[in-house]
Amino acid sequence: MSRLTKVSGSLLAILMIAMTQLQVSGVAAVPIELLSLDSAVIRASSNAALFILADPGPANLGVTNPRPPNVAYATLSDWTATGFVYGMCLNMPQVMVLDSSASYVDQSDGRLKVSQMPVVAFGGPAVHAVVNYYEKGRFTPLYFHYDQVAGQYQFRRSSDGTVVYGLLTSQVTENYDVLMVEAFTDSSGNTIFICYGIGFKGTYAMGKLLKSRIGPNISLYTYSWYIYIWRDLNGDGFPDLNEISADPVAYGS
Amino acid sequence: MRLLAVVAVVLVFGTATVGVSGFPQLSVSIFTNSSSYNPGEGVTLYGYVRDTAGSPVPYATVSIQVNDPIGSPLHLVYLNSYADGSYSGTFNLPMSAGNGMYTVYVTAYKYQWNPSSSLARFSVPRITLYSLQSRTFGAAPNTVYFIYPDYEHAQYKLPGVGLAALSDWSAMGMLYGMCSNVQNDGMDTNGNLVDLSSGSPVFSEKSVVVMGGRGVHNVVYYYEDRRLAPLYFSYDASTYYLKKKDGSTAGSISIPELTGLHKDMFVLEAFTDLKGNTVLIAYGITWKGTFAAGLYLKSVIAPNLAGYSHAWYVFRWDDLNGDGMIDLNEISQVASGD
Repeated sequence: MSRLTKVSGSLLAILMIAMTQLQVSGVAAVPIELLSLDSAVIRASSNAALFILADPGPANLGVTNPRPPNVAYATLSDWTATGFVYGMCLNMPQVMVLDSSASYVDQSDGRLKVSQMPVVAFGGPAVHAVVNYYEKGRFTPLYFHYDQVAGQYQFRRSSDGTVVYGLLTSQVTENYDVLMVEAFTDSSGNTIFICYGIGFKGTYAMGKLLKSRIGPNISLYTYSWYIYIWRDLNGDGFPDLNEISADPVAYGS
Repeated sequence: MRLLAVVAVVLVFGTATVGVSGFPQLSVSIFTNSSSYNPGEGVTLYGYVRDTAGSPVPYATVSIQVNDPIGSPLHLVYLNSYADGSYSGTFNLPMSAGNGMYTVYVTAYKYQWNPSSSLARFSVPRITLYSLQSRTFGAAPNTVYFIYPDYEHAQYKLPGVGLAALSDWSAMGMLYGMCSNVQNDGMDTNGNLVDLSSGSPVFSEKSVVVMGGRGVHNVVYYYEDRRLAPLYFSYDASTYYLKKKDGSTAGSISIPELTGLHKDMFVLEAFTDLKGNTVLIAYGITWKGTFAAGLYLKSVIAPNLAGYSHAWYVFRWDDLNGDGMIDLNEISQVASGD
């Protein structure tokens, strides 16, 4: 009996490791073309698209909601970026909720409770429960990584860990940021769109870019992820459209 | 006869600031019943004649002159104040009235009183939220300016205007996202967009979108301080108000109601400024009202914009489910007007 228990325990451990590896490998997610933002979200029927805002915390919200492990409260500038896409939608209203809504998001880990929905989740993994869930599970095409040894912020490919773009942490300032957008489907059939910068200005800039440059030419965006740079050319601290790199510094599927 | 009347009015305005010592001082105000009109519409002019303590002055003579956008007299009238100090009159704009800003000059005078002058403005044509469909959201590329309140350059804020919080930016994306074309944006401390000595936009004949209250936004401060916006923010010890130009209340919310961030009040208003810019102002008393303004404009008003035929609207948000998040079914209209 005790031997059987021991074996079962080993099997269980092996199974758990296998499941973890399965989760880490992210096999259940499929990168899709960014251009699908148009059909999935911009042209979505009323109440068909789900916009998930990162909880801004009790000081802003007036309500204290629990956060999944390692997820902090967001700044409200992330909401501005989301608004650019919400504003582009042709059919109103759409569903807008917080990532702390237990009806839509599993509060223990950030997993979505919906299926077959287009979902917009803007904000980095450190502040957005849903983004955190997808990146931690390596379901996203890219994930953010802080490489302490190299002193770099990096975007890595979830499939193999390859660094697709990295920059020294000292490069990211009030006047310089990196911004990323990506699209994929999850195992529940949700079509997910994530964007964020390393700083809040990058997230804001990505929202503006989606509206002003990507949106009008959306059919050209046939890859699943794109990375851009914002450099504050006039030094006013405000991300102007012409300060965002004309071409992505990296892209892929 | 008309020439004599013009001369008389000019003389009155020319001596309006010359007081005779020993005589009490009159104080006159003037308002219009709307901030904008279409050609052919009736314009109601009204106001009050008071002394410096605020008590009504009856039976004062009130001369009113309306000038068109190029400064030519369009309408001249003499009225008398009633027993309560009030006066009013109406005239019809001609069908040929051109677009632009009209100025209404008023002077009150009375025997053995020092006269007083004031002015009001209105624009042609009528501006409503519906006007924004073509003038703002459907406007040609680079003709609309989205001006954010700066959150870090205090040295470029006007006296009485503080730094914004990023929460004041929360809804701007939604309004920018509604535009058919790529537009301009920047902060209220950008001297290329805003005259930093007054808060006035430096450009003309464009569209302006500003979100955030007068306490944090140079441009909103300018429009409210000059009474160019249809409504302005005010408060006393217990209540926050949105007031009309004549000081009457368009909406109010008690200060205790805002505690806990589960209620708010917000305004959406459209008007023309002195430079011919079409202006949209949206803000709440707290950031949640500002966000609610953007969300409601995009989600509810924009799909039914033709039904929004007034210049200003005041709404309330009450967090019915207590989750702190703004839901559309929690927003209700309080008042509207022109």
